[in-house]
Amino acid sequence: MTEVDLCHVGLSQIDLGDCTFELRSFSDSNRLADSLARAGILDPVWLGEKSGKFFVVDGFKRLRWAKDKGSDCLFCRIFKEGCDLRRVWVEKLEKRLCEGEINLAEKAQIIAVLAELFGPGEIPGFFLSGLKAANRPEAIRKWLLLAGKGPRMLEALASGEVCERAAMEISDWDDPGFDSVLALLRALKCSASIQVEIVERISEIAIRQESSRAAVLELAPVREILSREMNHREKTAALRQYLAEVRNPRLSLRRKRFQRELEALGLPLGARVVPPEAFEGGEWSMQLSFTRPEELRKIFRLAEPVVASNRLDKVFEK
Amino acid sequence: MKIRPPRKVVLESAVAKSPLSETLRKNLPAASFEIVDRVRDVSARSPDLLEVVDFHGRFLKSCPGTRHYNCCGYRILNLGTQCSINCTYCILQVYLNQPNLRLFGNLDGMFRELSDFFDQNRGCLHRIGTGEFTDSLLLDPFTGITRSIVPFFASTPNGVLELKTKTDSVGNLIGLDHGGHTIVAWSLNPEEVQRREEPLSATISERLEAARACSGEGYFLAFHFDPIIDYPRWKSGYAQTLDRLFDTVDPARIVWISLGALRFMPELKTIVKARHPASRIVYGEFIRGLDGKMRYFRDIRAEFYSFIVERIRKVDPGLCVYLCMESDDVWLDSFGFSPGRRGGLSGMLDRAVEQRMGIVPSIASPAEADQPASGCKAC
Ligand code: SF4
Repeated sequence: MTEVDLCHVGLSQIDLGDCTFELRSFSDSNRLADSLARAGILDPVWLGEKSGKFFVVDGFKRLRWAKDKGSDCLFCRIFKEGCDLRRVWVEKLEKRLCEGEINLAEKAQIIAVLAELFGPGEIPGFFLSGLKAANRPEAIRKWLLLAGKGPRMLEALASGEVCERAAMEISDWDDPGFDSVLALLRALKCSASIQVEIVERISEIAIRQESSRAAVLELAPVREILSREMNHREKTAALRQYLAEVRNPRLSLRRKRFQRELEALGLPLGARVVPPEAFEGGEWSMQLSFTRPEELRKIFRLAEPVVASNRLDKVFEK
Repeated sequence: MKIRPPRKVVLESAVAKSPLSETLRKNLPAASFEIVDRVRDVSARSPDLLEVVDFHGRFLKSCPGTRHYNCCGYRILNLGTQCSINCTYCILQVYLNQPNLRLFGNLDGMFRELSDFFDQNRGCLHRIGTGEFTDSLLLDPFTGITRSIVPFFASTPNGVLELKTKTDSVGNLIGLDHGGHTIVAWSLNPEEVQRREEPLSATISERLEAARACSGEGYFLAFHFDPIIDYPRWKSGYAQTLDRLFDTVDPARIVWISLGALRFMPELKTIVKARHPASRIVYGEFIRGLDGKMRYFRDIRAEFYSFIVERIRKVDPGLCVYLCMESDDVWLDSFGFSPGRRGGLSGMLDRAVEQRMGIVPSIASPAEADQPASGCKAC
């Protein structure tokens, strides 16, 4: 057992500037502030003893609140001078995991601490399962990269502006691309699956074009879409369409050509030729939309000469 | 090509004394041998390990075609699983619980099953291949399986064995009595693709030299441009390989050439990205096919096929060229006809065997004459 004590400590003896043990949540949750206002500090704050002074182990926000409130002294749990700092961390993390609701920014920081304490490949499984983190070297490596990306990334993780899978995807992007994609995802505010689609597309376009991800994000059409006077949903839709076209140039050319030929064919309103998904397989269909029998008769009458003409073959041309 | 011999062989006790295990002991003097009751599934791959198990399933299976694409009507003879050639696109990578090289040690059971099959299905031709779940010749220098299986097919009136490989391990085939019933087949790609995506395989030159040697021994040959890979210089790459092929072997010895563009189960993408980070193959222009596999957009596939078919036609217009798992509309674009117009893909391949190899199954006994019009219970 770690040597610990419970006693009152004067606030002046505590070094609030030592943030070695701080895990920042990067979120503005008012829950703790409300609780402190209602009930004050309920559990002892955790401190470590060093050269007769104290550093904070757990309870940074509560201590700041107490200081702002002008408190003199607090009831604290003290890890005594010379105690094993690794054990201190382990107990702090055990406690944090039991408190529930760990956001992604905290998750990244905790994994970084665990990797430091145990080595990246030796983190005990119960910590990882408590964090819902995959016990794979590649996943741990990505979490470590995320933890090292700095406050902007951690803020985006904590706020949910960047989802976990997209964050893992961009974790090893180099700086210019990383900064741009982070700004992009924060601006688009799109769902997790769309975030993943966008970052994967950007990566794959860069690989296909043998350029960098930053260069893809700097392409004029991307910048133009992002600068349009549109809401974030419209921007997301426009960007997805553009990226899909660049990622799949042959398919998108075929689609455009098909659309042009179909329009040129001049089928009556309410009649539409529908190709198979991605033109795969031989099952084309014709859709007719109408409200009354005479409308259907009219569509048939007008469509018949169009369908009989060899202009129709152009629609099917590859 | 230098094949690294397994350094450790784990034998299931039921097959520890089988002829295959004895041959392995003789041909792998430096390897350690361990006998276990049962080889367990594992998740980590041990590159130097060979497992020899007592196989309880069926050795002979039908080609897993789907209704959306034309299937060749091939049968697969399962001799083992996994492969150490480590091609970036290899489908076997998704079988994560059995990652090690594995052979089925009860070959007596396999020959029994084959004999029964041929006894019961005499009326028509059976094209049977061993290269579906492993490379047909990868371990042959150590197992010598071809030395029993090739003569077995020579004794069947209506069986054709196709050995598919990316190796040049044809040593055991030399001097065998194959009776003209074995096709030795190589998968081909441009040199550049081979170096990048199949780095541990025999080079294209080595494969073609091995093909020439087999042809010299009277074997029939086949070639599979599968998987065809899209990359910026694909036209010159495939043209060069075709030129080299026809410079090295007499087209008259080739029974068929198949073409198949890269296709893969979606889950393979993550595996390829993790295992082969330098490979670019998963970044092609893929769509999800009607069978759920990722395939190049059909216009890209049709362009590959038309280009290659045209070049083959110039050399040998009568050579059977077919598409592996493609729909009628891609056939029409690439060949100008669909297999249905030529009696189906299976019929096209049977005819190729008949015309090039001279194998025509004949109904020999009155009992067999009672068999259905196709002449065969299995078809
Ligand atoms: S040779 Fe065939 S079986 Fe072996 S790794 Fe390559 S694709 Fe897979």
